[in-house]
Amino acid sequence: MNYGLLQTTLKELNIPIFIEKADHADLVRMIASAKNDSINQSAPKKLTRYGFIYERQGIRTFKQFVTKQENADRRSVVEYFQKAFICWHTLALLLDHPGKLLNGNISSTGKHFVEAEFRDEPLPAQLSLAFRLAASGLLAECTAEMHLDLKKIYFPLQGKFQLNWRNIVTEHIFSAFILLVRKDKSREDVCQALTSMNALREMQHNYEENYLESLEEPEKQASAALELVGFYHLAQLITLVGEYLQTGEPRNAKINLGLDRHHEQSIEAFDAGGQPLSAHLGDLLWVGCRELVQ
Amino acid sequence: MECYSSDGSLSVDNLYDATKDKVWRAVRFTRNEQVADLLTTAAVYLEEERFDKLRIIVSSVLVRPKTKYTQADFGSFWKKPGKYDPASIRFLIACIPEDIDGTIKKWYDVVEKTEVPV
Repeated sequence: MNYGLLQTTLKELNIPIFIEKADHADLVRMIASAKNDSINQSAPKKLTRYGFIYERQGIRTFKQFVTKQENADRRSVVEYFQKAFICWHTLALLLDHPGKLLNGNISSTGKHFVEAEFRDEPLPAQLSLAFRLAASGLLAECTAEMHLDLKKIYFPLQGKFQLNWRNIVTEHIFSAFILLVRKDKSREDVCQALTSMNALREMQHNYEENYLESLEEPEKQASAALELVGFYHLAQLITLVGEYLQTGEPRNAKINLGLDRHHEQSIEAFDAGGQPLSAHLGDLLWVGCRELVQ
Repeated sequence: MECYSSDGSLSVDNLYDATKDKVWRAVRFTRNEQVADLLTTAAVYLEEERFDKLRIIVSSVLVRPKTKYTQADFGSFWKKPGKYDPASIRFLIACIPEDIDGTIKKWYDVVEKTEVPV
């Protein structure tokens, strides 16, 4: 019933039209290039908020679709993620200065909005935006635009010594997902994603204990440990998909079972650790991984 | 908090943005789907400034020793309630019989002596 209320509210307030206009303005900015200062994005902060709403609706409808619930169809999943993709895509290509082209880079202004809005999430802004572009682009069936966007985003892993273990884990997992989606230079990206997961396993022994001990308070340690368990299950999703893309094995039904099992266990761990933001990212990663093996 | 000015008093100028940010943050932290949808609906109305669809309440609770309480404690909430439009005001003053420091000390004494079964 609330779901219907939200749908009605979004339509009543013309939010889909706001997103459609953002898409048109983005297209015009690309065509008009630097010479047209008049096509500015109105209220760009809203893009992060409405992008999140449609991302969440897309995840929910996808869950209903794969569990064969009534009123859930593939078309709705695509439509929700299309709206989310437009929001992330527009943010990535916002002009930093009127009349100045981005020259193939991602927008600093867009990153700033993502950073401010998702400051509680475990991902840095650039990686967060790239991950959202990759996942929503896949589900929105906007693969061509999404691949073009991802080529603009350079997302190096930060030096491991500057980060705590939680950051190392999240950056490896979500960067690896982007590599699986991008699949640049034939299969090089897929190999790199799998190598990254292996590197993570090798580093675990050296970093995990120090990270948990640094938190001091037992409650924080327990919550962080559960969150790590959640992320380790997400790392298994990456490994399963990477191996599937390399070998075609295991077959479709079996790999879906594996993906669903690790997803469920990750969400259980995030929920037990009181980590709703990580759980949302885990849901989105699972949806993206499911789509990659279709 | 963003809604306080440099002298520590409540600034109405940023109250709207700070409230909006708080509601959106609550949306992201909510996993229960029904609650999330209700919060998201409220957040979208707030974002689009559709105050006709919302009932906004500015709610404060001030704890004061009974001997110190005066009507001036309500401050601008009493004198200039229009500053908080479109919100209605619910300002409560809880009067306690003794001074704050003494009451807090007594409270801690009780808490520290209480054993919580595991």
